[in-house]
Amino acid sequence: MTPVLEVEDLYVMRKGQPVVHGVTFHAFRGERVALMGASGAGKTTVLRAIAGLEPQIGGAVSVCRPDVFSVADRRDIQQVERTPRIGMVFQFHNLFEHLTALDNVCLAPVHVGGVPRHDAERQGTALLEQLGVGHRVHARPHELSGGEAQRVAIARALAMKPLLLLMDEPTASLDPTRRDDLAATIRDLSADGTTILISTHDAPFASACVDRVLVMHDGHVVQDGRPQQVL
Amino acid sequence: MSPVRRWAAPFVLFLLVSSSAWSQSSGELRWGGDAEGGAPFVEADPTDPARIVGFEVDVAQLLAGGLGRRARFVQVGFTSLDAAAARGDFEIGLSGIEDSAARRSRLAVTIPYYEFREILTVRTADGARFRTLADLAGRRVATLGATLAYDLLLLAERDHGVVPVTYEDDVHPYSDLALGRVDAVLLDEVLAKRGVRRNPGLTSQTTPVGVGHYVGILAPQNAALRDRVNDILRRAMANGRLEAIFRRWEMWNDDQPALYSRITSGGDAAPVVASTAAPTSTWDSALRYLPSLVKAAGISLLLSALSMALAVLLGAAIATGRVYGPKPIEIALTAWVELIRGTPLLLQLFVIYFGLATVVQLPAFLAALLGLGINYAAYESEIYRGALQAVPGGQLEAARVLGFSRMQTLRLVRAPQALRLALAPMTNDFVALLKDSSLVSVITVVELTKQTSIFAANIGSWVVPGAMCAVMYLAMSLPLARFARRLEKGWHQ
Repeated sequence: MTPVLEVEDLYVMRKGQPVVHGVTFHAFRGERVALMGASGAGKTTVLRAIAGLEPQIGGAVSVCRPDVFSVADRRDIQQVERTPRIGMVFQFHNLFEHLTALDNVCLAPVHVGGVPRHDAERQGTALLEQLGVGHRVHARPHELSGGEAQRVAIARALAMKPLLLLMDEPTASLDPTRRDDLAATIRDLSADGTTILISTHDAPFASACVDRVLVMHDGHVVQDGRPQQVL
Repeated sequence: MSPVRRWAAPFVLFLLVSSSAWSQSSGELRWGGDAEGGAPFVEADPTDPARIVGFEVDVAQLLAGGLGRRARFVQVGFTSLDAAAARGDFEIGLSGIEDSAARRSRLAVTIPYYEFREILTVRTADGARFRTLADLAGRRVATLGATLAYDLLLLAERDHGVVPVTYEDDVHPYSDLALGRVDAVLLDEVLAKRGVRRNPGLTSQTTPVGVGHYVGILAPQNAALRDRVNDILRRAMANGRLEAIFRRWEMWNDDQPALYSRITSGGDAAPVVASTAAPTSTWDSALRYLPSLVKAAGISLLLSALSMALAVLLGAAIATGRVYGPKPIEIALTAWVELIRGTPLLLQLFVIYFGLATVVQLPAFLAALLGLGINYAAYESEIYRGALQAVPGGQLEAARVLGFSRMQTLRLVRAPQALRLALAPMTNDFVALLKDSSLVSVITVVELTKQTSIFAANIGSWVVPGAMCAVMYLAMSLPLARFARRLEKGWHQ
C-alpha cells in the first residue's frame, strides 16, 4: 500500500541551526499517528514543515505522490503556498476573527475550491452539525468557547476534504469530556479514510485515539511503535 | 475676594496699563505692517535684509519724528492688521491699508495720505478685448481678498458674471495671469506696475475701475493719537515732505496734489464705498454672508471627501507595497512617505500649484485635491501598514495551509480585519483633513476658512464669523465621527 504521507530525512533550520534532524516516517490512509515528546522536542515544527509553514527545510515531504515539495535545502516560502490536500488545526485555532463560524468554514471551498457559495454553505453547515456546533454557525470566533472554536477549526480544515489532517496540541483547551468527544471524532474521521497526524503531550488521549506513536527528543525521532508499546 | 484675586487684580491692571504706556515712555512708535507686501510698501532691504525699506517705512519715520519718538516696526500678516490694531499689538498700522467705511466704523483711521487707482491688468494680446470688467463676463479675474478691488469684483460678479479669484499675496495673481490661469487682475496701480514689470506680456488698462486711498489705522481708543498723527500728515502734505517720500519711491503723480489740497483745506476724502463694504450690523452681515459660507463649506467638504478617497487608495497601495513588495520597492516607498511627512503641506501645495505651473498648469481645485490627497496618503499608509501587521500571523498561516494565494489572503483575510483596526484613526484623519483643507486658500481655492476670514476682515471681528465657521466645521465632522463609531460597533458585534 502506498503511504499517504512520506517524510524522508526531514531537516528544519531556524536561524541557521537545525531544530529537526533527519526525521523519517510514513503514514497510511486512515492511519492515526501521534507525535509525542517534551516541549521543544520538535513535534510542532515537524507538523509545520509538512504544512509548508517552515521556510528552511531539507529532505522530502510528500503527500499522496507526486511530491508536495521538491527536495531543496533552502526554498522560497512562496513555492509551497498552495499545499494540496493537507488540513491543519492549530493549537490556538487561528480562526478568521472577522467571519462567522460558517463563513470560516466556507471561505476556502468557495475561493480556493471553486465550490458555489450555496453548496459550500450547505456542506459547511452539515460539517458543523456533525461536529456538534451546528447551533453556532452565526457566532464569531470571539463568541465561541475553546472547545467550540476547535471544532469550527476542524470543520474549516475538513471542508477542503484533506487526505491528511494535522492537529497541533488539540487537547490543550479541552476539558476531559470534550477530550473524549475529540478522540471519537478523530476515530470517525480516520474511519472515513482521512490520515491524521497529531502533535500532543497528552498520553491518555493518544492511547485512546491513535494507532501509532512517534516519540521525539531534541529534533530526532527516538521511538516508533503502537501506543501500548511506547507509552 | 480671595487673597489671590486681591493681589492678582491690581497686577493684571498694572500689566495692561504698563504695556500701552511702555512704548510712549520708551520713546518708540510701534507701527505694524507686513514686510511680505514687498516694495514699494515695506520690504527687507535687499542690501541689508536686517533693515526694512519702503514708503511706509518713511511715513512711519515721519510720524515718529513728529511725535518725538523712534519708529519701531512690528511684523503682522496683512490680513491680520485690523485685528492686531484693535488688540493694540502696535499703535498704528501702515501697510498700503485701504480706506473703507467698514474700517472707519470700527477703528480710528487717519486721513488718507495717498490716492491710488484700481487698475485692470490683462495679457497684452487681450488688451483690446478686455478693457473693462463688463468685457470679462464668465472670465476669472484675480485680486487680493478683503480689499476694495475684491469688493469691486463682487459687484462685477453680480452685474457682469465675472468670476473673482482671491489670492493671499500680490505676486501670484500676475504670474498666473501670464500663465493663463486667470484672464485679468484687478489691483491698485502700485501693485499693477510691479506686476507688469515682473511679468513680460502683461499690460495695464489706463481707465481706472475705482479710486481708493491709503490710510493708517489705530485702535478706536487711540483717537487722540490719531488726531496728532493727522496733524503731522497735514503738515507733511503742506510742506512737501510726503511728496518727497512718494517721489523717492516713484509713486508721485497728479492725483496726489488734488488729494492733499482737499485735505489741507479742511475737507476729507470720502472712503470709496462699494456696496459690499457698507457698514451694517454684525447680524445683518452674518445673514448676508451665510449663503457664501454654506457654499464654501460645501467646497471644503467636497474637497476633503475627494482628497480622503485619493489618500485611502494611494495609502492602501503604499502600505501594501511596503508590506508585500520586494526590498527596493519597500525602501523607495518608505523614503517617499518620510519625504511627504517630513515637509509642510503648505510647501507641497505651493510646489504642485505654482512650482509645477511651467510644466503643467493644474486647476486650483485639482491641485488642492492632489496636494491634500498625496499628503494624507503618507499618513494613511502608515495606519494601514500598522493595521495589516496587527492581523495575527496565525490567521495568515491558516489561510496559507487552506490554499489561499497571497492576494486572496490579503483580500479575504488580512485587509478586512486591518480596515476595522484602521477605521478609528482614519476617522481622525478625515476630521484633520477637513480642517487642513483650509490651507488650500493659498492656492486660490475659497473654502470655508478663507470665506470666513474675508467675512471677518469685512466686518472687523472674528467673533460671529468664527462662531459660524466653527459650527459649520462641527456640523460636518460630528456626523462623520458618529457614523464611524456606529460602523465600528456594528463590526465588533
